[in-house]
Amino acid sequence: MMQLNYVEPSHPTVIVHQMTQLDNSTASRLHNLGIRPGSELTVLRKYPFHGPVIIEFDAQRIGIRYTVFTALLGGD
Amino acid sequence: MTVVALLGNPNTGKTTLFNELTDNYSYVGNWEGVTVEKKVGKIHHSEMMVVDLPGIYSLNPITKDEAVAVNCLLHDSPDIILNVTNACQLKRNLLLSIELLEFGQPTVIALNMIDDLKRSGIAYNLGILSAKLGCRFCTTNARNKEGLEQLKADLLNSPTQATEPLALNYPSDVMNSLDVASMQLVQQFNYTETFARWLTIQFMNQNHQVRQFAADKHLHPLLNQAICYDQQDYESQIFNTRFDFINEVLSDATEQQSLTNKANITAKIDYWITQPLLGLPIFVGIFYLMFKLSFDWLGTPLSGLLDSFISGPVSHTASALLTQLGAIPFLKSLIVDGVIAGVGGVLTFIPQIFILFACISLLEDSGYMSRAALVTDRLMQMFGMNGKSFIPLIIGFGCNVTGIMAARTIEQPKERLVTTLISPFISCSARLPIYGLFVAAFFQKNQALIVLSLYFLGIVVALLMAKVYQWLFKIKESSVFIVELPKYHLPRLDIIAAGTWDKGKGFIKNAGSIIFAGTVLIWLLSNLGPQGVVTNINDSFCAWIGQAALPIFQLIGVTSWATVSALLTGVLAKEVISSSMIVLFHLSGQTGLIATFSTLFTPLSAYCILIFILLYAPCFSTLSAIKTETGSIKWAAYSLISNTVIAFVIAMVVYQVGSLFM
Ligand SMILES: Nc1nc2c(ncn2[C@@H]2O[C@H](COP(=O)(O)OP(=O)(O)OP(=O)(O)O)[C@@H](O)[C@H]2O)c(=O)[nH]1
Repeated sequence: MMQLNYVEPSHPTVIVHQMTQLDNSTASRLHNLGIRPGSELTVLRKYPFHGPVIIEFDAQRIGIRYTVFTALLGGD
Repeated sequence: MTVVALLGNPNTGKTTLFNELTDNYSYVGNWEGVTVEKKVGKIHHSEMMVVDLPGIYSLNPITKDEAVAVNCLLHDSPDIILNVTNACQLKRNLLLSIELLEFGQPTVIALNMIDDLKRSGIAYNLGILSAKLGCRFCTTNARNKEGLEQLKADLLNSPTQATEPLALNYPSDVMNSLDVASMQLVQQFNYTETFARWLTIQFMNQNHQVRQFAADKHLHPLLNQAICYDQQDYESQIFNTRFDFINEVLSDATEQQSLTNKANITAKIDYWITQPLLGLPIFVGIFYLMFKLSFDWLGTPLSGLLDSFISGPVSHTASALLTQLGAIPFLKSLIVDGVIAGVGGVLTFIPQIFILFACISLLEDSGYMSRAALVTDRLMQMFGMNGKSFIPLIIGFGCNVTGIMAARTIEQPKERLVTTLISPFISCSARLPIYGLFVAAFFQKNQALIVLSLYFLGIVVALLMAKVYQWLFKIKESSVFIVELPKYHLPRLDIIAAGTWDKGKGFIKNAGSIIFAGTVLIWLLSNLGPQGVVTNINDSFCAWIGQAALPIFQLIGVTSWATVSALLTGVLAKEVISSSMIVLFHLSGQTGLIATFSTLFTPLSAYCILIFILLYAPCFSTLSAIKTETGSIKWAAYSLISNTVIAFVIAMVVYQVGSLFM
């Protein structure tokens, strides 16, 4: 296959500050995936117009909504 | 007989393992939540039953399919637990393992997807894992059938009596409460100590199902303490203890961590597939290709060949044979003009349907589906749903019944209900034959495009109705949407073949049962009348019924009673519409029908009738799926009526407006 000019982009990482702003189901789902305050998340992609955010941690990728993402960071 | 329960996180390869271990085959896909019911199989050459259960993240169920798994543990108490884990994501997989080990049944933990782990340059010392967690560990690569013999041996050698459960060092106040409550349970309710402790921990952990269980059984030692447990946030304390324990175990057990420099294929593909701007166009492009392949490039030519075979040699041979045997004309006509023409006419669509299914299976196996859920989430949100509803809808292309079942992975009950209600608008494969007939007759040049437009219309109506329901049911914005993006797999031919067969076999089975029955019924109705056997079809029962309803259908451009009668049979199963039409127009196979069509329809009325067929009353199987999933016959009745009304209104508007321009 043709080698598309792909360069491993360097992605920003963020730290989960808190999970109290989330509703119960979302919080426990994220818990089950291994996220807790203090976890380090790599942000692979953010869709424009507050679309979903793809994050990576512990060798797994998940997509979450923008509002959940900001809530994890402490609402900023 | 010993019962082994397969438990583990979603998409860890449970079903793949199940298929390899047992003599059963069930459906595999590369996204979370493929298994929605429990399936049972027997391990080759043994007396062990294996139960495949839906994937769960923890024992506290959020969705309906997760509840199935937890119920199995609570009520069926399996002898052995086989905990399937994804070796690359051991950290979070072990969170569930701990809950299972606390349950105290003999457990074997399979580190599956060990190939992916090797590629990432990590290895775990099984001895250390085994010692720390107190259960057997083995490594497997279910996709390539590696490590299965060892696993089977482990299962066969495993004790079936309760073992020493895992006991973590929870913080001291949790421990004290645990001791007190479990002691009381043992004394008052005769539970074993292990079960009592497990129940208490789960209760503290706010497991809804366990709390319900406690309420049902009046377990006062727990119920009285609930508020106290919650106030002191035992849940977080338990979670943190487990998490720290896992971190410790994993750092002890990790052996080598060579950094591989191989560029990660998944990252590369995802870089393109999930581009913010390219994501949706790529999604649309993939579907366009799928339809081109099924209808233009490959499917239709193959279907033509099959048709000339059935309406030629098969029909003629049968006819000659029956004459030779001296069959009475009535019977001969029933077999040749009824069964062979009708059922055969539907069967000629096998190529299109199977090619479409092969494409969908390919998408499923590769791991693209969850990306599709992601890129469509924003769009679906506008209609008050989430990207996960998209997967059931796509599965609905195969069959609405399986689509409705797949909706079980959606977290909120109301969203699930909406997805269930809009599923029948999705154009299932059973509707393809009738599209094929009309498209071949009226839209020779743009076959793929016209069919795609119908599929698209189905989706649009489904989404608009979702919006209406969202407003009716007052669904609020907040919905859970967390989707895992699994690693891509190189598609495997056997898995795609199995998946295609799995989806398509229903179509062939239907041909032998309901389509056959429907065809015979319509043939009888059109050959019998109030005066017995009729020679002129216009005197038959069928004509009667059709004539009665014809005035209404004239509004959408239908001019013949035969079409109306054929439409009525569609409630049995959508495929029956085409076989009924073939029988009613008394022709063999599709080709003759196509010529007749041009005298009965204009392209506009043809398109309108296709719209009507796309949207009107769901078939019996779908109706019963709606009834089971919503738990009430009301919703099934509602679907039957509302869908027919919606179909009629849309087809009428298109016809009436279209007539102004044509
Ligand atoms: N690389 C690799 N892939 C695997 C392995 N085992 C299974 N898979 C793939 O992982 C995907 C998920 O497998 P399933 O068997 O459907 O997983 P499941 O746990 O039953 O999933 P749910 O029913 O959603 O809970 C499929 O695409 C499999 O082909 C393995 O050992 N290695």
